[in-house]
Amino acid sequence: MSEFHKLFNRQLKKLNLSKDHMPDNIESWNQFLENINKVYLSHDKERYLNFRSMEISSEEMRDSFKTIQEQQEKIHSNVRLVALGEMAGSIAHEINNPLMIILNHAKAIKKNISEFENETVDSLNKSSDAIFRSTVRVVEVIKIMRNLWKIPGNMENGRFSIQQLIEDTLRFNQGRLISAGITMEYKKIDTELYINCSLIQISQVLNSLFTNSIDAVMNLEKKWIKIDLVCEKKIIKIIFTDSSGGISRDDQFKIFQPFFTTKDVGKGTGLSLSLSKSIINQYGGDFQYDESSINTSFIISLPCCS
Amino acid sequence: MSYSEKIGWNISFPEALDSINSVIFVFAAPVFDEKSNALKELFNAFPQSHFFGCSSSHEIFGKSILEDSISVAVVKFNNTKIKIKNMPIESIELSYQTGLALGRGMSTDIHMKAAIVLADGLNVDASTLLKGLKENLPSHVNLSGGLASDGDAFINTWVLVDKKVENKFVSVLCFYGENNQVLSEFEGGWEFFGLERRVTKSKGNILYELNNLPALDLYKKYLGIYADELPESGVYFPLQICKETKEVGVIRAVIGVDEHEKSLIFAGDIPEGSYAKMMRSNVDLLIEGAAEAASSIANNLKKSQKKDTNTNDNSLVVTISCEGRKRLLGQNCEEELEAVLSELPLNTLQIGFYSYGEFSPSKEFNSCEFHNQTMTLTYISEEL
Repeated sequence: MSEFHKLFNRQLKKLNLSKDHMPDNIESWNQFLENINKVYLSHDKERYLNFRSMEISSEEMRDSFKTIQEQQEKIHSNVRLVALGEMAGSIAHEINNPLMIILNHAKAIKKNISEFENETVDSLNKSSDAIFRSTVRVVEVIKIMRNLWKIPGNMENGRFSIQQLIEDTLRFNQGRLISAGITMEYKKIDTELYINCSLIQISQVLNSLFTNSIDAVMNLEKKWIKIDLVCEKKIIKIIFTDSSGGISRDDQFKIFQPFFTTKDVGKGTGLSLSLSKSIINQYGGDFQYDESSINTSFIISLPCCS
Repeated sequence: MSYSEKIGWNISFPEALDSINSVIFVFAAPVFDEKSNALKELFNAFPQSHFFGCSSSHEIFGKSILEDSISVAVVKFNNTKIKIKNMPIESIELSYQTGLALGRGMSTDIHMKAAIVLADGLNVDASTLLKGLKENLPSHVNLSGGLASDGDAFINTWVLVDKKVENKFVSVLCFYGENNQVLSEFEGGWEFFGLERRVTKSKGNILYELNNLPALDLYKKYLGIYADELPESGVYFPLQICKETKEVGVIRAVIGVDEHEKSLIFAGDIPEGSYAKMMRSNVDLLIEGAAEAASSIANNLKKSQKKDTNTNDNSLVVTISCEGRKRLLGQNCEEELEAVLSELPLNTLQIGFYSYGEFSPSKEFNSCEFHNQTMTLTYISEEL
């Protein structure tokens, strides 16, 4: 006979039983059976509850993860709406000025035609030139926007030139920079660098940085924004700096949290930086505040695919 | 030594150990009181000694668990001064003030090294009692202890006060001097699992809602076919309660349910706004937990062993284990006592009881906290 289990030995000992000593009476036998049965029942119970706890908690974890994902998607889509709103504002700004010029010159042509004289031919030429230039500008703005936002292919991941992407975003924001009197400096590198990304998403990150920087430096004496592009060990770094005096240490920990904003009520959603970070992370990159800079500076790091 | 109705006292009293520096640890079934012959005999045999103890659900004696018995250890100290301080708990609401007053009386005891606290298990808010006590107690004092218990009855719990059994009392055994070792450790053997939930509605030790949903419904879902056995089956899923999210917290065990309110009653406070995580265990993990607590003591002993000193061959471990653990361990329960002794130095005697809660020294908080479902050990030895 194999060695008895220690619990079984204990059960035997409790009732003064052994291999050689059977129960003296039916009560003792029943007690012995009951003790053994209790162990089986309690073993079943433990197994059932452990299994159940694993099953239910896993299900709850899955549900919770799903809810978080849904909420995150909702936030992303809200941020996209906000970004679209901001873009619509920029479009209005960019198109309105040339349209006003077109309108004024069109009025002038109309007036000049009604009072047609030889000496007005020069004036008509000038007006038509201006209309032409302004129209070209409108076309250009729309082209940039289409590049950045409208072309369905840009929604998907692909291999894009980072230089081209920065330049397009720069041109898109040029009007805002000029009207706010902000000097722009862009230090690029000659070698063409490529990243695997969704063009729209990375543009969205850069546009958010432009919006934040323009808001931050608009009322400063010195207004500038600088973009440095570097590539080290196959990591592309876009260093985006503006002339404002940096973010307080307390806020540095919060700026990437959703809904945190230092802007006035109604001016910021508090979502752009948290979303930007998640976008950059999504492409295996990193998005950090550069606390070593005396100005406000963010570093976007992305793996280079060239 | 031990007493049972069937056998009487198992050995004759070691009366030679009676002295003003002796402590008689007594853990007894609630049915015993100062009028019962067994306790009368014990009190009479040690007229000079200090008596320290409480009622218990089950008594621990060596590697055995006794029922309806008295478990006793007689300890005569040679180089250690001891004092017992008692204080009535006028009402549960005054638990904090009771602890505060008790601690105030000890705040000037700069030579106090350690203390074991025993309190009535039914008429006290143990968390606030401990909070009050710690407020004035010097921080170096090693605190441990537990709540008197009464098994499933929840009717009568007492502590020994001047050779009388008293309800609504707290008793503290204080150790003084440098020539002794009083070390405490605790382990649960529980692991938390699943989601962390916010305590959105609670009052004292009653938990109404977690994440705005009835707490009772959650337990019923997890217990499945054993939901009908609540509150007993609730012991399988204690809660870890933390003030801040993702912290290590205190353990709370279910002791009652209110079907009408859909609430659960716990053997300790569940503050509103705190964070709760369900815990689970199994027989092996619980026994492993007990062994780990003893092993920590053994390691600390090795570290603190002074050169050229001999410790007394005989040492005592006061083991306070939660009644909830006993329910879960069932007939395996004695294995946790064996596990404790197997880790401690040879000749360590074990005495203790199954409690309604433990005052356990916490590594995380660096102070003593009130827990349920733990194995709390206090090891006592003296240098010769």
